[in-house]
Amino acid sequence: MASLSAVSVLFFCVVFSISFKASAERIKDKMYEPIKGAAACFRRLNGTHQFGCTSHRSGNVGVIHFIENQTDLDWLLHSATAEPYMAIIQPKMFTREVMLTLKASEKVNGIVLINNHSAERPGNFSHDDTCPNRYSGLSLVEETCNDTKPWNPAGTGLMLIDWGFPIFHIEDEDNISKLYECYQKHNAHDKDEQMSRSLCALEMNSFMIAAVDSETCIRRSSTTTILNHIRYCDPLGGNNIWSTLYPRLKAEETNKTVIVVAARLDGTSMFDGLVPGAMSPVSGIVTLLMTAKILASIAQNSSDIQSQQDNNVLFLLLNGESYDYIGSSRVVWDMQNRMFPMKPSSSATEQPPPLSLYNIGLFIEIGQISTLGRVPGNDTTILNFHQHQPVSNSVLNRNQMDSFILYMNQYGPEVGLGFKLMKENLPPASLQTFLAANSDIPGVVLTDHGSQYLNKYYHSIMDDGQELNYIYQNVTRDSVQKLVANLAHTLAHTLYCLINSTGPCDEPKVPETDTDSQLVDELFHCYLDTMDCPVFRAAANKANLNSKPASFYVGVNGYNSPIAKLTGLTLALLVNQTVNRTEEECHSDDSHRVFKYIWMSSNLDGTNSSGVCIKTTMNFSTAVSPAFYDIPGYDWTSGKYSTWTESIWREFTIRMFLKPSRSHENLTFSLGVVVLSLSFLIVYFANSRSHILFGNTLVTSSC
Amino acid sequence: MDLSKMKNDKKLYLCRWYYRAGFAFLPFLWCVNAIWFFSEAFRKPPYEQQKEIKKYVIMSGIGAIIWTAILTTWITIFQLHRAEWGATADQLSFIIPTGIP
Repeated sequence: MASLSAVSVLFFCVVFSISFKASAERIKDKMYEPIKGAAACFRRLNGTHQFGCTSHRSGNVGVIHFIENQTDLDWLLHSATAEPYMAIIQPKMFTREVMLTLKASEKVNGIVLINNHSAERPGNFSHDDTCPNRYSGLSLVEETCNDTKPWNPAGTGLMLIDWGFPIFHIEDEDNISKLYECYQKHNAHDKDEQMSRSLCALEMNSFMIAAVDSETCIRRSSTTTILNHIRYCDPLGGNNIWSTLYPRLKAEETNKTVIVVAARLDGTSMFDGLVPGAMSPVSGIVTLLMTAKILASIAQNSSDIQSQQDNNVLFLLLNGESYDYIGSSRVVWDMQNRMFPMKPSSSATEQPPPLSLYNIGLFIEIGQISTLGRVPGNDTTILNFHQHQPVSNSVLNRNQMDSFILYMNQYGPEVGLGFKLMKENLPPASLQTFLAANSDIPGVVLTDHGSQYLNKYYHSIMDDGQELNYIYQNVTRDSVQKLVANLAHTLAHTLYCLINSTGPCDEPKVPETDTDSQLVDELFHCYLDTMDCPVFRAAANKANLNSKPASFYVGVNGYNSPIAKLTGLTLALLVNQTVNRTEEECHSDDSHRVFKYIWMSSNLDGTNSSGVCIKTTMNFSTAVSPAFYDIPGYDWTSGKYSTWTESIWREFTIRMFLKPSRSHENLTFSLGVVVLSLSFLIVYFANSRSHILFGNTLVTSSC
Repeated sequence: MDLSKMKNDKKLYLCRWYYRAGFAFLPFLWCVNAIWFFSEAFRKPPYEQQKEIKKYVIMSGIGAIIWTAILTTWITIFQLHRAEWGATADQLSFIIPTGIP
């Protein structure tokens, strides 16, 4: 009997402790419904301003209100009583007008963009400026963007506003329906009586530590007070990728012999981690990679690619170009300081000599490429050469550029490409930075668009493969894969004609681009669908990679996004110069800096164990604006170099809960006040009547 | 310490030392002195050392009030203008706030 009671006591103890613990968790869980996988807008700063979103230190709370049409918006602006609200908006209502109205109304404490992928997407959706990089590049010298006919007509400039409240992006359908059900159940009926009942509310937390501008936050990050050291913001930046067709063992003997082929490596959007960047930058990256591959294979066939040659091609993939040309301005700065491609080292026995701006004979930039310029009823796709005017009068300059355009026009029509020459302003492009530093560089920007972007989703979360008409493993005659393969082929042959001054050049042959367009297909698959793809697996020599779609935001200096590294390795893999070395011998050497040796998987499925040693001129160079670490006392308001930084934040959280009515809240508060006063009264009376309550005991004194 | 159990000359000694130590930029000490010895100086029936204690209490009180005025003025000015002073204000700050100018 005794043992039985002991067991039962123990049992109750265990049950009690378990239930106590479980209920403690459940109270929190009952109150809040966390919404996972939401992406947030965050704060960026430049030399003069702050942009983007932040919440209060302890998060913003507001009552959920769905804005599906103008009526909902009007109701919120004029009739809503239970403020503050959290406005929940669909992409089609996420316009500059609506957003600015909501900001000005001061009735909203935050905004959620719900992006249901099955819904029809708006006709245009771009959150960058109508004139991207309005204040940098050539704009320091001349007008580059006409406000009446801007480059990015769809641009809303929502990224360049200091919102002062959090904005989140939710695409998970379960979460969207959770929000909607809660709204329907508690908020949507009897809307004018909202004050008198409990309402479904959201709490969003995205507190940003940095404030004011980059100068302030960098200064604050570098001061150490006695108590603490806080990092407020980080400069945007990453790595550029460069590679030359022929190795550069010694300096070029004559000026203006190197042809630069450049593309940008980054895009941007309003939300953290959601930068699909299909048309900009992916279409350009893939075109450049394919051009490098085809050019290398032609050059390998016909001459010794190992030997030094004055007529060389430099491939450049520039990072951070969306933020006032971080990568290209750094390359120009490095070139001016004789530190490009790498800072000369005294210990190295073999290293590429510094390349300067005078070495550049022609600058070809590949911008956005798409099939949107296809002429209906014709097999031709029109692309545009943007030339900077006035072109320098030097005969040599004109010659190089004229023959480039001549060859392109000669080869292009064979594969259904037509080219138009645009001689107005130069579109936002890395070339602008080079021209601002040296107007003598002949250069063209090759894009799908004429005087305005065809891409309606430039720098937004919707610039994915859909607009590009890309479907994996569906290489048709009209597909973007075919277009890019053909363009790369044309470019590569043209480039070869330009650098190979001795050989014959006048026999364009119709290419067999089938294998090439298959490869383009695989490359697009890597950049748009998943990073865990055959080409990246082979280049990284790993059995599996992160399976998420790539994000092309430049990121902050020090935390490098995987895409720059993978792209560099892919470039090395595609140019494909194998050497006979074992895995142990296949590594780079600090004193021989012309080549890098990288062990890669030998075939493009990336699964088998046999590898090859790739010898490559591909390398990385820093893409961080010199304003931060290299120019002492830089004038942050001068606009000469990029000053973009990104604020530090602790967390992005968003959760839903039922907010009691105002009268309920008042009641709770009043009750608390009453209980507090009562307790004081009771203690006071107990103290003053202690001799009655506790008897007339001897008062002991203590000192 | 309980003043009621203390001898009068000991009280004077204590009050004087609090007053003197307050000159080392310690206005709080003056404030404590003025409050602590207030009833000794003004409420207790007269005794020999009371006159001197009264003097120290009054002086400490005046010192504390002047300090309060100075500090209030400075703190008000600093808080109102911290953001616009920029780098200077950051150098003067012990803890730089996050998320605001």
